[in-house]
Amino acid sequence: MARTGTKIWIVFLGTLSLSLLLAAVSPGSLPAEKAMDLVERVMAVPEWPARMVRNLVLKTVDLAAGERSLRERIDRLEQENLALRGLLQTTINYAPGAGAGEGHVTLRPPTSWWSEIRIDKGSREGIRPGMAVVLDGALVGKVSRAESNSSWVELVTSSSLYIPVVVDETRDLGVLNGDGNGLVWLLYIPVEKDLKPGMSVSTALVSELLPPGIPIGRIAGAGEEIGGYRLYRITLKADLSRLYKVKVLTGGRF
Amino acid sequence: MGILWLSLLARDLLQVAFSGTVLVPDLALLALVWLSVFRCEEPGSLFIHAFWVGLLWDLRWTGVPGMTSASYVLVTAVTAWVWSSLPPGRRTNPVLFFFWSSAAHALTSVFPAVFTSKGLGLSSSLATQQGMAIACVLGLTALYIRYRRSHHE
Repeated sequence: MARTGTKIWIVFLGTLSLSLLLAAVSPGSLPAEKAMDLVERVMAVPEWPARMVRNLVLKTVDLAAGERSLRERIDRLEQENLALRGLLQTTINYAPGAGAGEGHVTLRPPTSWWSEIRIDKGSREGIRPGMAVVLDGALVGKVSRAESNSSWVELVTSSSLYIPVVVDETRDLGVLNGDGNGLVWLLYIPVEKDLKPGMSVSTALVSELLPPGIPIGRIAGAGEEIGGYRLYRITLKADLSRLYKVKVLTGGRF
Repeated sequence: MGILWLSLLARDLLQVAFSGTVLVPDLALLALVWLSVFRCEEPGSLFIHAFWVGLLWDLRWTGVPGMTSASYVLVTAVTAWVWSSLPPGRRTNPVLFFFWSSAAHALTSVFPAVFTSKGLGLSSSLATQQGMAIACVLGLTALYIRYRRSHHE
């Protein structure tokens, strides 16, 4: 009897310790992400009927509201808008054959809430690392890693993502960087420039990977001055608290 | 133990179907509470299943491997300990079973927010999840009453 009680304690403490150890060590690690991708691939088989039902319901609702045609029209206009913005900045044919693939967000780890998401589209759908990811036409991040059936997207609020941007009204160039806690800052703007709140910011041509002219957000206010440069806080155009579906802009220089 | 894995699959399928709209109730946790109550004297193998079920859920949905498994193992241990400590007459009490299951579900739902110290807030989806969980617990309590009666306990 006593031996059984001891065995129960050992199993309880063992499983609990292992859980806590995993929770402390594994988040954000590559093996954990690989394991997550593997589980997603395996579970895709039994989940197929549920996904079909969901898509069927969504399509029915879309059709009933006449939203589908409107979305397609918006997609076309977004593409056209993107191409025109690119043409305004350069004569280089940036991304022939560029398109947009829609993906559902399948994972947003709480420990890296403002840093990354996983979507259900991958290299099989033509997605490659570096591609821009947008929500309602505004940049939310870029693809950091593409598996065959899923991709990881680094969000603009991530502290390790630096995006070359341009202030649309003044054509000043700077770099956008998140703080990992939901805030985004515009860096490397000389203090004498005096940018105003409300000015819009979009991706700049100087980036090799992101198409130019994708709207990102607006200047919310000036921050501190560091070494002759002033920080500006950016209010994002895309609502990162409502990330359910995103679009990946395929094409570009890779 | 099959009921535990089936409830995990059911929760997973429902989560896929309702993805982006609501959080579905934690059916696996309710199954764990059920099993812990009936195996309160011998919960050893339950811990191992609780661990694997939680880990699979974490790898599929939460992105923090070990978080759900820790909460499942804890719920299993506390439920088994409480039920084995009760006098035999009190173990059949359906009201106690209802409140225990509801409390376990509510606590494990907020566990991720506490664990990651990045609270996701008392969102409407969390409130909806708890509402649906209460309905599930009511159904489970009805099953509990029926089971106890059929076994003359």
